[in-house]
Amino acid sequence: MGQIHRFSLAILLVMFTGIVSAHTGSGISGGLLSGFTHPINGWDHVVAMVAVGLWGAFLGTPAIWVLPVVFPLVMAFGGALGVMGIPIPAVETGIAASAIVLGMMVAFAVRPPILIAAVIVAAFAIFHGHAHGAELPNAADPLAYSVGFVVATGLLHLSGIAFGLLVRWPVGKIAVQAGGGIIALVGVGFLTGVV
Amino acid sequence: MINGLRTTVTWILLVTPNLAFAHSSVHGLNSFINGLLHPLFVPSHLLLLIALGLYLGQQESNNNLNTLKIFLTSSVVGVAASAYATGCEVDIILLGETLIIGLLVATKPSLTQHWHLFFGASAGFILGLDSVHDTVAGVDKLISLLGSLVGLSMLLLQPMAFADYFKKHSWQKVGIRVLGSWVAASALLVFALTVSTRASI
Repeated sequence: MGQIHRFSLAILLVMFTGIVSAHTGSGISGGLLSGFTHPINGWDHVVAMVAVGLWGAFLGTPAIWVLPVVFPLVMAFGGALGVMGIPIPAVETGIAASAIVLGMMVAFAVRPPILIAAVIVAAFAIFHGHAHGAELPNAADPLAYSVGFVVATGLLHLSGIAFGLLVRWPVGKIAVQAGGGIIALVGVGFLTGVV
Repeated sequence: MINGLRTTVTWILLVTPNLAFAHSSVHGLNSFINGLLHPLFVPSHLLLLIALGLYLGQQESNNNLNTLKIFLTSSVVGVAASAYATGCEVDIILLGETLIIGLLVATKPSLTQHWHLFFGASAGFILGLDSVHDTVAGVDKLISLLGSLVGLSMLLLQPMAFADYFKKHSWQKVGIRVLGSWVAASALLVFALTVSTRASI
């Protein structure tokens, strides 16, 4: 009886190694999933992406769609630099600074011309892209990984836009600006290492 | 003793299904279906078809029939050319064209019909060239290629119809442009990875 239990336990332990390997994933689905979860698992990325959407919605047309179009394209450029091993100084600081700056833009209702807004967003996108790009060579399927993280980034923008559309109402505008303030504070937390 | 064995077997049966995730869905399918599904299971093919479909869907519907004809013809030519171009690495060209077309979807410039024909022809040729299965031969290979040609055409029509349908309102057009930027961004990253990997070898 005792031997059978030990045997059962041994079989179970052997079987569970399959579950452990499923964590990293393999092939197209593994690459897609790991790419999709990469931006979502990093809160510094999440708050900055939401801030891009929030600011876009706050600025209105055409920024509401120009910023989410510019960001992934320039992010991919930053990712390409990362893939090719071209270093960018202070990547993590840049990512934290993106949350602070974009959060403050929303909090203080800053309305620059669309070109300036696009340049600001694009500058920060390079840091985010570089961080993602560094992971790309290790991905199970690089293209599926790229699609996953670009789509996740876009959906985070969309969630920011959805929240930002509350600016149509006076109370909503306060909520959006407060959201921007919280994002900026979280960015300060990342920069100082508190968060 | 018997209870212990039952417990063991039950646990094994409960735990083993996690191994099934590694299944290959094309096993057991005939050559035609394998070919049909080929562009769906090759991400770079699928991405180029999405990019081209969105691009064509953004254009005037009346002009697209000629582009579709050119696409199909050049796919057949590409498949035929693959017999003479074994071992040809086209992934960089695939990604490069996806990047360009994705950027065109995102920026939506006014291009003439000649450009639509050019992109349709070049995409069809490259996809046809890269659709040959190494694991099959003889009649199976021909049937598989026929399936691939049908698959390429069907998969091109999906995003094309999607983009064509969703161009009634400005927000829909914006949505298509955003999708184009996502496609271009994904292609750019892997393009850079492929180029840097080749350069380091």
